[in-house]
Amino acid sequence: MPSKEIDMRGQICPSTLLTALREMNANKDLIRSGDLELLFVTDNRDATVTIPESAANMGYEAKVEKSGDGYQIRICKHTS
Amino acid sequence: MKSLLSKLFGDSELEAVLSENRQLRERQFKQVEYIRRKTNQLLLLMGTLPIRPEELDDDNLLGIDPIGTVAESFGQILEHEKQLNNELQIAHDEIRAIISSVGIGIVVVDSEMRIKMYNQRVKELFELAPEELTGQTCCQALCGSGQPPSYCTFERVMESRRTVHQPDWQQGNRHFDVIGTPVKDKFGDVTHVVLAYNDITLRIEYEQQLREREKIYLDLFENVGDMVQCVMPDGTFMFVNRAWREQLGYSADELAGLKVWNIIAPEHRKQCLEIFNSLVQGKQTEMVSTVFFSKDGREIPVEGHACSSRAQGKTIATFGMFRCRAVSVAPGSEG
Repeated sequence: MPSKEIDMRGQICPSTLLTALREMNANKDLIRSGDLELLFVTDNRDATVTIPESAANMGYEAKVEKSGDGYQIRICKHTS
Repeated sequence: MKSLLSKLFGDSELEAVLSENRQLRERQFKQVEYIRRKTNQLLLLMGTLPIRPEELDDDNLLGIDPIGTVAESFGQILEHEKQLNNELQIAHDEIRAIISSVGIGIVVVDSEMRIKMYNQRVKELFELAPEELTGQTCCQALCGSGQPPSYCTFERVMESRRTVHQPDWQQGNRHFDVIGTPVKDKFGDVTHVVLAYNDITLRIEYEQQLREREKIYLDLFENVGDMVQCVMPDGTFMFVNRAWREQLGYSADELAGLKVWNIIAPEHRKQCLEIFNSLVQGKQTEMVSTVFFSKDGREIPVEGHACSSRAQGKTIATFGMFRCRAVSVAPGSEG
């Protein structure tokens, strides 16, 4: 599945969430149809909670993985 | 600068322009503050922190349109909630249909024992009036009492927070198999209990009749003069009658460690074992003639009939009825 990476390193909350929301809004049709997943790269720990929670409320699936000094937050279509 | 402007436009006109500028700045400040306040309110609703002034200055705040971003996200959230509500409604209707169609009575009560949902089968089982049960306590509606019974399934579920099975709960002249299952919230507290009632009155009556018949047969076999034995496929004794015990000298307690080949005289064991095995395999036998071996070593020639009792293609026991052929011979008396 195509993936769009958004590097948010250096940003902190709420800026990280606003950026993530803007991307999820702009790509909602592609994410919902399963044709795109978003990959947020962040070094802000708060974002690993706020972004997945908001994504879940919007009906998306969110997975957080540790990656180097930061985190990768993958947002995609809900599978279950 | 001010003196230059005063000379060009005059004091009063300059003062008017300055005042207008001041008002415009105040108005813009109020608008920006309003946007910041509403943005923070929406961000808090989204579960994140408010915007710090050093993070976004007034110009950028207007430029990136956070209210528009969050509002659009709320649109997605509402759309998702609508979809979830539809799925919940379908699940609710499915549960309703399942509860209505099963042959057992189902009552759902809250933690205060008040009935929240029930099916028609409950009314049939408890012969209740057609009036609405919702809102009544289950002990009022089903037990017909203001107080729960001494062994109340609901109370046991609330205490143990686990599924409780009560195999025979008697209400009037009816018997019920009752299963109480807790429904818990995300904190693990029991919010509701699902009570399922299966009427087993007929089964209990059949079991009682069966026990009575069994007792009649046992009394009959116990008191006949012939030796009666009922042997399991592994050779252990399930039942022997008084005549058998008296002839062979074993007490009822001694039967536990005894196998059928222990009571056959050694020279007849092979032949008897073949008969026993053919019975276990479901074959019929003719008249059996053999020699029993008593506890004190006496040989007792017997003859009789044996058959097997089978269920679901398997032998569950063999049954034999024997009588003595001749007077028993004490060991060593033959000289």
